[in-house]
Amino acid sequence: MGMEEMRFDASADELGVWLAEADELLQLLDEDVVRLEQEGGVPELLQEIFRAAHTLKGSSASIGHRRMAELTHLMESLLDLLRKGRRQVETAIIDVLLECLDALRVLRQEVAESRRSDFDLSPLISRLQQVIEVSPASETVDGAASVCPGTTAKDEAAAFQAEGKEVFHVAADVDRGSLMPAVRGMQLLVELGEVGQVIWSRPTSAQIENEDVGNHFEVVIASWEGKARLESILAGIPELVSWKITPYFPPEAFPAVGEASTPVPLVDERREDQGPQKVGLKEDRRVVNLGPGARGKSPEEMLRLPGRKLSTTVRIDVARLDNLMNLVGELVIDRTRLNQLTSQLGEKYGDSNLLEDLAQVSLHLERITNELQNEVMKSRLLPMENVFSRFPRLVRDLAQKAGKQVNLVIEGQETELDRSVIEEIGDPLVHLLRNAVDHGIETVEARLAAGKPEVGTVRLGARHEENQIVITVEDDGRGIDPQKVKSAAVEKGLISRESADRLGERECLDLIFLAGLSTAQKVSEVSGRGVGMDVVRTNIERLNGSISLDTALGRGTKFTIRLPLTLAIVQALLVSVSGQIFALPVLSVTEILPIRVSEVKMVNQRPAVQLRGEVLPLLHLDEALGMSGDGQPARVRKYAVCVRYGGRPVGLVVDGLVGEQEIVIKPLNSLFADAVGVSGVTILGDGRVAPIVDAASLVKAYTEERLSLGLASA
Amino acid sequence: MAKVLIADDAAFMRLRCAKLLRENGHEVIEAEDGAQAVRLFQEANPDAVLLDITMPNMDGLTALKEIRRLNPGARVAMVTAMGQKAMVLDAIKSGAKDFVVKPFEADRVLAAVKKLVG
Repeated sequence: MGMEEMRFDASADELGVWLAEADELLQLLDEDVVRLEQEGGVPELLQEIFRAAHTLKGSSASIGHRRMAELTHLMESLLDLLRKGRRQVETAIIDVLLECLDALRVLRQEVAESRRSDFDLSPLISRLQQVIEVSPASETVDGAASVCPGTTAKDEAAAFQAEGKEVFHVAADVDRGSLMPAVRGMQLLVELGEVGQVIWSRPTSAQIENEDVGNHFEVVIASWEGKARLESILAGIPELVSWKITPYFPPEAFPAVGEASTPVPLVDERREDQGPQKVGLKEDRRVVNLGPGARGKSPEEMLRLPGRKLSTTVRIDVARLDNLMNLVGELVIDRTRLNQLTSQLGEKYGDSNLLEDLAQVSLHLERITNELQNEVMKSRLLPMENVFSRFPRLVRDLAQKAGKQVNLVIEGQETELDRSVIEEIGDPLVHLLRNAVDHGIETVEARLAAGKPEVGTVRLGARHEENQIVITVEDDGRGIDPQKVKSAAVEKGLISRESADRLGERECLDLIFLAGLSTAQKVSEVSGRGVGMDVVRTNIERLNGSISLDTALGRGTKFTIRLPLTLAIVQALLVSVSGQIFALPVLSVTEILPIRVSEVKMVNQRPAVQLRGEVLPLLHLDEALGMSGDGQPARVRKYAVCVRYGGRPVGLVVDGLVGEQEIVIKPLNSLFADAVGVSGVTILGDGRVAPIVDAASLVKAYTEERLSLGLASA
Repeated sequence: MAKVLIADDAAFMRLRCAKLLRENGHEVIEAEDGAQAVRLFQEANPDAVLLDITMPNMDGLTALKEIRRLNPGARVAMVTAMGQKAMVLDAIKSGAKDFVVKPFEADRVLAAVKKLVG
């Protein structure tokens, strides 16, 4: 085949760098061109693509890869048209750009292998040229930019000429790859100004200051030096790729040709053809204005040009949001520390103006941090609709299979929830809805016999309650019979009859959350068996949430799920146990009772106290976490922090209450990952580390131990 | 070749730039801030000056004006980071002849020096 060897102007090492850079740029271009198709001609995106193509052009030219330089040059021209809004992003252009990228990979491979490929570039080149050529020339689009030296300039020019000075029209183009074309334009004005008087310029110096420039600059200058001097000045300005200096004649000398709107050609070749005299146009007040706006369009107006789609939303990588949330978390910790330091300083140094200032700054920082935290949190929120939207279909199918008539009512689907929670909450809700249709709602006959409407109703609702999300799944079905749950548990060997007999009604209902229990009379196809409520509970507790149920025989069942708004920052109760501070998510706390140690009685071999006539089982946090005492004399008064476990309260006994504050959850490292009863740690305002108590798992371990004790004693 | 004064407070950038210029046959004088640059400019009378914009003691813009006051024909290019366009515009108005954007390419620096002295 025609695989002839190719040589490039670079050492092997340098080629390695060249290849790595090319790969990086091609990768970037791949991603960006696809984004371009999706997002439209966002200026920053176009600029990035243009830069990448420009860099490729430069580097391929520098090693002497002519075909690659030619292709990238044409790409650059096309991208420049897009960048300037002279072409709109459309499928045909995306196609040709993608094709260019494929071709560039082939050309890159030529460098890697030092072999010329058989690849024929010419069809692509001519397509590119076509796309570029059908684009309207710049002047017609920048209609209002058809400004030329007008009457004022004309009069001035005539005056200077009368003084014997030469007047020149200078047109110069700055390299399109220039990082700061405005700087070159300014340099042109400044350096020409050193040898003459600038009468007119386009863009104006004000526009240049505002960087409202393209790559083309025109100046009319009256100079006491000759054309040669101007030439040498232009030659000394970096990045000027072409320029033309012509004597400028006032319009009278060369009567205008064409209409006032006839654009001044901006492209060098055309200017060559038509000569400078056509610069003189009919008077037009509008174009005489040399102030800002002489070029017609403000940046705002440019943004409104058709096709410049500037979306008001951006897509953000979730990882970036997570990172942002982490950083805000750090800030929250520092905010708390700063508050503590401020109050400590206040105690130590009393009244001082400096302290007052510090307190104010601290207060302001706190407010800002809170707002920032809220905003970041909000940016991660998605409406529940994302989950809820698939449920009508699900419930319909379930009902059909079960031969029941069910109406699903959804409320509060606009309620917003952290996306990480949204992702996790779907499965538990599917379980609950299945249960409601399969086990809750009766058959049509049974409903009619019970005097209920034949169509059952399942209500799914979501709402905000302070800093929580409350999701409810409610059916108007047969309700759950605690006795049936209890006997099912005994039947399945999950609990002994003896311990079952000791359970109250609510405790019986809580058995529903045990693994391996299904209350359906017959195994149904859709809900399967055994899997269900225990999985639901586990999933929800993993989200730092809780689930409880209320039921009334013959009237229906309602599950209530409470979830934190976010997983990263929670409101926590700080408690002390044996001299160590622990954090308890407030969400899991139902109430706090001061207790006297002397009140504690043993019930079923477990400590408990009386609470409103009922037995409140107690769990000593220090024992549960395997801590030894702090050597302090035994306390007479302690606190029972009540947490709910599947609806039943358990009191966690702690030595003292420290306070309530927002904490940032830091996951445990792998060394402590399986520590029972601790779900993470947080850093307190004074820098101390406080473990976060996982009340659910502690109480679960306690309950299961108790149940297995019951089973063992059977 | 040329005698070039480079002023940059960032040691690594200064080192790389100096190395590059020396390898290409230029004589290099190094300054760590604007004030030192002005002093060395007077002492050594270099052919070209590369001035970093952001420097302690005396920033690049002030040093530029000082140097141009001492010698209106001084050939100075600014070394700048992206996003300092307004300062580069100011520098050009104050007589800087060129600018090099950091992180710079070797070719660009050499071309700038060549253009300055040429």
